Amino acid sequence: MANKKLRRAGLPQELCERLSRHQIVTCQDFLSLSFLELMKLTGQSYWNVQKLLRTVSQSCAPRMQTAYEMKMKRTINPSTAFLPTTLEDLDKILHGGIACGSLTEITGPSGCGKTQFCIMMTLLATLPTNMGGLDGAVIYIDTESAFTAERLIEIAQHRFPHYFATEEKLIAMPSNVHVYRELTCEGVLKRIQSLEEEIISENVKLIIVDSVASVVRKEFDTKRQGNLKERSNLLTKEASILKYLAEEFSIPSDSQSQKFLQTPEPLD
Amino acid sequence: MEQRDVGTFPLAPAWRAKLAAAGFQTAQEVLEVGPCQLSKEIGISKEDALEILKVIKQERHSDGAKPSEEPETFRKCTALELLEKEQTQGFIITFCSALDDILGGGVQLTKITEICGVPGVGKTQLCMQLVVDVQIPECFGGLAGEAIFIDTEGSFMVDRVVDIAEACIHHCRLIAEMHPEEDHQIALETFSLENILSHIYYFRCHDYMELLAQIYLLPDFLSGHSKVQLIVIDGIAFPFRHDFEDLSLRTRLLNGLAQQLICIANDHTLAVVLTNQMTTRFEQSRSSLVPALGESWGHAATIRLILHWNNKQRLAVLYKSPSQKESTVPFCITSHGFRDVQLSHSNLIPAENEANPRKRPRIEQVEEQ
Amino acid sequence: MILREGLCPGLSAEMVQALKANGIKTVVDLVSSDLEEIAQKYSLSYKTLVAVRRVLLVQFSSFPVNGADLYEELKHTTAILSTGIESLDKLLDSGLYTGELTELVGAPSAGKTQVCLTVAANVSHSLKQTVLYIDSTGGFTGIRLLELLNCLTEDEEEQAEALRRIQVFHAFDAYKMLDVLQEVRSYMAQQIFSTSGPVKLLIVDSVSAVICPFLGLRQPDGMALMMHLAREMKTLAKEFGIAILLTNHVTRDTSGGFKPALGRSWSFIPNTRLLLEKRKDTSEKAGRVASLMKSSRQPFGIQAELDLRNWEVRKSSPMTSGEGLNNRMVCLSDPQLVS
Repeated sequence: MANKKLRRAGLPQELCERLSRHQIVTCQDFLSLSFLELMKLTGQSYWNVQKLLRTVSQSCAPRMQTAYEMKMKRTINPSTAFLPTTLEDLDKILHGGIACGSLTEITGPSGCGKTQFCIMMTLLATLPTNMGGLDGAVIYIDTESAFTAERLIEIAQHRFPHYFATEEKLIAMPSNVHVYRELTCEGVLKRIQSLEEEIISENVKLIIVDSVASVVRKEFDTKRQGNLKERSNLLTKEASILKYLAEEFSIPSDSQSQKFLQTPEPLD
Repeated sequence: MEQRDVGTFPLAPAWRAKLAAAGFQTAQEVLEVGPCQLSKEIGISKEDALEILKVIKQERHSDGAKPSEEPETFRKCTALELLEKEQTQGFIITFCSALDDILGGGVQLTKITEICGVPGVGKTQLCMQLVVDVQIPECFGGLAGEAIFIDTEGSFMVDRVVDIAEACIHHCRLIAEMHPEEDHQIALETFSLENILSHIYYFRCHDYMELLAQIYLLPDFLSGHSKVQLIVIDGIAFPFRHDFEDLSLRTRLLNGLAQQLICIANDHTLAVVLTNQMTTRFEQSRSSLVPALGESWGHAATIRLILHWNNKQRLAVLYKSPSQKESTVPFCITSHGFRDVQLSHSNLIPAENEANPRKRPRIEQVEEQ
Repeated sequence: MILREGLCPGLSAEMVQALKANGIKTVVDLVSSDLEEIAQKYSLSYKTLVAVRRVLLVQFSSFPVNGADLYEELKHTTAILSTGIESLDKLLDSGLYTGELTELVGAPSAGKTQVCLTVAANVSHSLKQTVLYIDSTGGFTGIRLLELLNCLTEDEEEQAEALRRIQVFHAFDAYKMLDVLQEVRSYMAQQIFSTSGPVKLLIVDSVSAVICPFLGLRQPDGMALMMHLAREMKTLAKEFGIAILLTNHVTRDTSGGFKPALGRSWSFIPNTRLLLEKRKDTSEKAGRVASLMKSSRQPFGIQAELDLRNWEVRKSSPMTSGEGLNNRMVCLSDPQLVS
């Protein structure tokens, strides 16, 4: 959105050229300027600048919806609102499961079952909708090399013996799970940044990042001060992309972090 | 007033320089010449010259002796008039009477209130409570207003708002039963879940650009929705905490944002509520939790409320306010929304338990009576 | 000043025309140019030119004043306004001086607005003078002001009188602020406020809120705007003999300490600068310390304690907001209270 060119924002051609001479090309550049700078760069007076600002804003502001519309959207299509965890008590607290279109964080000390939970959710998301699943593919970004396909199949066979009775079904399921092993921060960020196309082509319904913390902890020593800021910068960036993807495609994404790491941003 | 310096008018710098070079110093000198002469004297087109004259005259009009003009009366008044206005405009209650008390009655209109706190302490919950509460009908002591919710983090849960709204409607019903008055019944008819939800205008801003753009457009939106009495910006910090190399740009943008918001709040008599995250600051060897976005942002909000945990108890601290003294009160969040802490269940109640069952028996007690 | 016909005797329309055609447009241009050359080049009378220049110089130059006269004048025009806070008065050498700018600097919630409101209440009530209050942050609250007045007097009529004497302006950006200052000036000139006593005090809370959005690295125009504001206030203070009380933010410098916002060039503007701080070491939350950062009368760095608790109020104010409404809201906020 922010990269939208001023040309497409409905400003006069002449003005766009004038601004581009000052390296003001996108809406972001334009809106970051103060009144005074705008007055100088456009050569217009206060009131005209106000009008210009409004024009540019109009082209990149979000669309309004009322809470009622949001609610209706959810009630019309309840199956896409939540991905049930099949754990009854948990589903109850969560209003029906992991919410689609938002980011859910699972946190806990090592060995308490975070990865197991993730694998189970992977399985559930691939199930057809009449079984409470999302009937889609899953992207699993694994930073700890903890994901095993065997375990996935084991859970599948154990939990849904009838459905997975045939070999064919059992093979089809893992083929819907796309696992990426990323062992560096940069890799994770790059992967997340490039997901958009794949989500569309593969009908992805769930993104799992297991775990955000481990790579970050490896690469950023908290004792050094500058690092902390850089780390929080990176994490916020990741969160913001994941949130965007989740909302755009109405898919839940899990990210897992370990308890020892205080994530400075709420990843709820 | 004719002696006003030309440089103090909002003219484009290029024009200002030209005016100065031609020897124009005060408004009077410019106004003495017509647009044609002005264009000749300083070497610009006639249209531009007219524009300059307009800018200077417009200022003079709003300066001048025309008290009937709307923005004029708005901008200047005696303290007595202001006091009367403050006393009639009411508050947005939070449903936590202790919190209302320390705020002086609730969230104030025409002010910016900032809510700071660590993740999960209830900032968004309070916001969602407020967008419902602002709509309480006047006969129940509410404002019968509407609300704008600008969400930067995507944490607005419509299902949760439904819970809170239902509890609020239920509550008003109880009051109506207690005091059967005609206007209560009439008010209740329109105070429905559907109505509440359709008067919450939701905007999702994904980055700071969208947020800035949205704020620029708010005055237009408000002139079309004059009943809006509350603007919530949930997560003001989130879009400003990454992708910012240039910290001075950030400070500048935020300061500008704050001034725009207070201007909107004043012009339209509405409350602005912001939420902010906490961040760790290192001072020598100590580190402490402080609201994010830095020191100069601290001046932006008129009222600052910090929510934090103390053991298992949620506390709200009024940290900054022009009219109330600093104080701390406990609050809790139930399935029905933001509520007072019940004295009988003292501080020992674990947070997990307060999620559900506690509220139910309480309502039943009321119904029995 | 632009050269115009009739600006002074001897300056004829033809002369102005001839001068203008050759790029001499203003008084300054004329005075600073070589008259002999002009006379030669444009066939104007040298004698007239010299005469015109002499008249213009007399008209537009300032008169020398000797120290004794200045002192006499000062004694007649300067007033010292008590702030109503004893310790603060002492720090400021008995109060706010008219014709001067006094600046309050402090972190958020250090009590800047509280001091402003107290001063406004005191000057308006005790000294019976009109106060102009420019609010740029929305910090002005009538309710709090009433509470403060309630400490000074019990009489409702007097309270209302005092409130009526406080004129509040809202200005949320720098240009609005300039407009308002202009308005103040024109009112002062017309003495519209004269019915309720002369204006002696202007409060601007806060100056940095309107300027900060324009300041930055590549912002020469923002700086220019700031200086315009500063000059406007300075001349207001001097010309009409009013005391101006400003508030300013603090920013964090690289070493982690506080420094006043708006930078170096602003620091020359206020005559007196006070830093307000919260007391950290005491348990009393309301304790504030004011220390002098700049003053031409008192030694640098002296401190005074301000006790905000004293201004805290008996809530029995007769005018506090609609009781009925309040009760209702309380009952609303908890179902148990209803039953």
